[in-house]
Amino acid sequence: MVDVWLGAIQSIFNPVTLLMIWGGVLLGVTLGSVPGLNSTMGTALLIPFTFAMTPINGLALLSAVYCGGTYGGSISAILFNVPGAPEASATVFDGYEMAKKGQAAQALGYAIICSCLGGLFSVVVMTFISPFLASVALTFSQPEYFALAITALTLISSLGGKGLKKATIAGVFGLLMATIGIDPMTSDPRFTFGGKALIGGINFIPAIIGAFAVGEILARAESRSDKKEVFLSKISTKLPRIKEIFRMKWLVIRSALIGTWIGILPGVGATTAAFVGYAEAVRWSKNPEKFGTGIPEGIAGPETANNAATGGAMVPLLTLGIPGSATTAVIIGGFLVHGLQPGPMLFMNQPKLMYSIFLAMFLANILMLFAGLGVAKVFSNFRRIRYSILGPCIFIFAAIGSYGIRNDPTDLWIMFFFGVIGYFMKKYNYPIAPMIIGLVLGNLTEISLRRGMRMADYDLSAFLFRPIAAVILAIAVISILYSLIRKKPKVLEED
Amino acid sequence: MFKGEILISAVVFLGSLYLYFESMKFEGHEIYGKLGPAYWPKFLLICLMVLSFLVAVDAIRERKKGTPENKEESKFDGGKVRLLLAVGFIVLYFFLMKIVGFTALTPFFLIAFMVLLGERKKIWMLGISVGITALIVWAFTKAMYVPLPRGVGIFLEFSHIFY
Repeated sequence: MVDVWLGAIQSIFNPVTLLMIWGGVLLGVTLGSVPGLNSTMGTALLIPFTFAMTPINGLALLSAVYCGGTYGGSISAILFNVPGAPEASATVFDGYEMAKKGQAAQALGYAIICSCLGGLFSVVVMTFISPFLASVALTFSQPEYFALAITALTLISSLGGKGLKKATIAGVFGLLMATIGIDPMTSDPRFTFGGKALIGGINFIPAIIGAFAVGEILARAESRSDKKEVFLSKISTKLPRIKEIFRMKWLVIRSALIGTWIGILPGVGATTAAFVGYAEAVRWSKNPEKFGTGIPEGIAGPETANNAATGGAMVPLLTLGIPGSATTAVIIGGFLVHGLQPGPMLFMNQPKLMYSIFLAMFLANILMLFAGLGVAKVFSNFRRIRYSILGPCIFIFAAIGSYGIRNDPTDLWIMFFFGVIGYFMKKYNYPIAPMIIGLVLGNLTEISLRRGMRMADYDLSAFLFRPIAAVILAIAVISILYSLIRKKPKVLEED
Repeated sequence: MFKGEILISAVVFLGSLYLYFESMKFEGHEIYGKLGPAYWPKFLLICLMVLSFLVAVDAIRERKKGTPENKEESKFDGGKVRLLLAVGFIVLYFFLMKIVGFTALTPFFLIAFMVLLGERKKIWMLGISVGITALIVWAFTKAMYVPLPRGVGIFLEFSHIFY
């Protein structure tokens, strides 16, 4: 084992490999921060180039792009209310609110530190207990997925504040929007109105971009007020102090565990991890009503979780050959061009390569700190531009970001539709976050419920007899009851 | 505010009712008559109808309590005109994108939107609109190979100059 580690260290700590990792991180952060470009696209485009490299260099480059891209999305989410990558969708809730309060530098600092911590945690977990975790993850079945989705959805009760009914409407609306398109179980078209445009369903990225960015632009067009006091101040990332991070230690550890675990589950991914990380940050907070108003905890939760999911998603890829996310599915191509088949045999035949990848990801997460500081600084300068110039530019990037996902003009209209909805929701105090959570988790909730019910011969009680599902569902019920009990004294006080 | 709240509740309620009837059309493939494609949407639509009704009731209660209403909401002022113009610009931009293409249309849209948001410096408007369009065209078509809409006819030829 020591020999393998020494070999891996020797492979990684050479100038060419280090340059690959640094270049990969920088490219990943840059791609992640531009809406419409992401790490999946970056890794896909780089695969042919890795053919000419050694397997270690090639895979180190792809892993570094993956790590950097997952963090990069938070930069534009915080500065412009447009998540650069799907994984940063939950970061918008508090990140942009902090930026609006003139705390963009602090928000960027929390995002980068927490991303770094989440990523490092998951790499350590991946290094030491990959095979064990992969086997446990395979015991997760539909009832467990359903329980996980329901637990995340109970966040709506915490986010609602005084307007619980409006928050629930928003959440249910999001769930309903997720049902549009071909039914994944029976292939029936649902709410497509006989056309082809909606057959592919509602992609949540145009919806998120629309609800947040376009909604904001429309509101600004109506009010036409340039808040120069915030936008014209110079921003440079302000890293939080150690004691500030230490204050959130349990939040970070919890989010890192959640992110790693969700990353391991095949097909769930970093975006869900970010939302569940956010949900749990709200649930365990002493001041849940402050979430969504621009607090560091609202950034730490999703950012730790989404980067932790990068390492997590590599676990089933490396141990079982099953990709845990879209980007890891692309990274399989990186193995295949070198004639390697990810899976248990690779651990036995190529241990040095495996541990080199672990080490490369560990380094990538550290280098991400420096790459993030540089890219964030460049992007921060754009916030000094007047909104009358910046607003239309944000809109164009939002439009291209939506269009670029599937190269489908329908996504532009979806973005616009959600922009109008977002405008009215803001105006009439309907929280947007529950709608997005519903939209993101809608498919998982419905499909896991229906498949789980079919597995249990349509007996819902069977969900409760599966120990893991029962425990997760119990957490959901307790958290709803707790949030209702906690709200009651406030209502009495008001009366 | 009250009128808006009631209107939104009504739109949600009636929209949900319409979609409920729409969802009855995809009840062809239930497995053993249970949890077919309509089951989950119907459940959600019933929830939406009940909740929108409750929100409307809350709004009426608030009004009866005598919470002061924001009279400015009902005014049709310059802000509303700008909002409608912004919506109009966006709809027009998306509609024309297929015909005119991204490269030829985007600078004009950007300038129009900047004027709408109150920008007056012509050099800035021209420079930024052309610069941003050029940057996006380069980054998406040359660096990342994402095809942008080219338009038709003369606009298609025009787009071939760049990508």
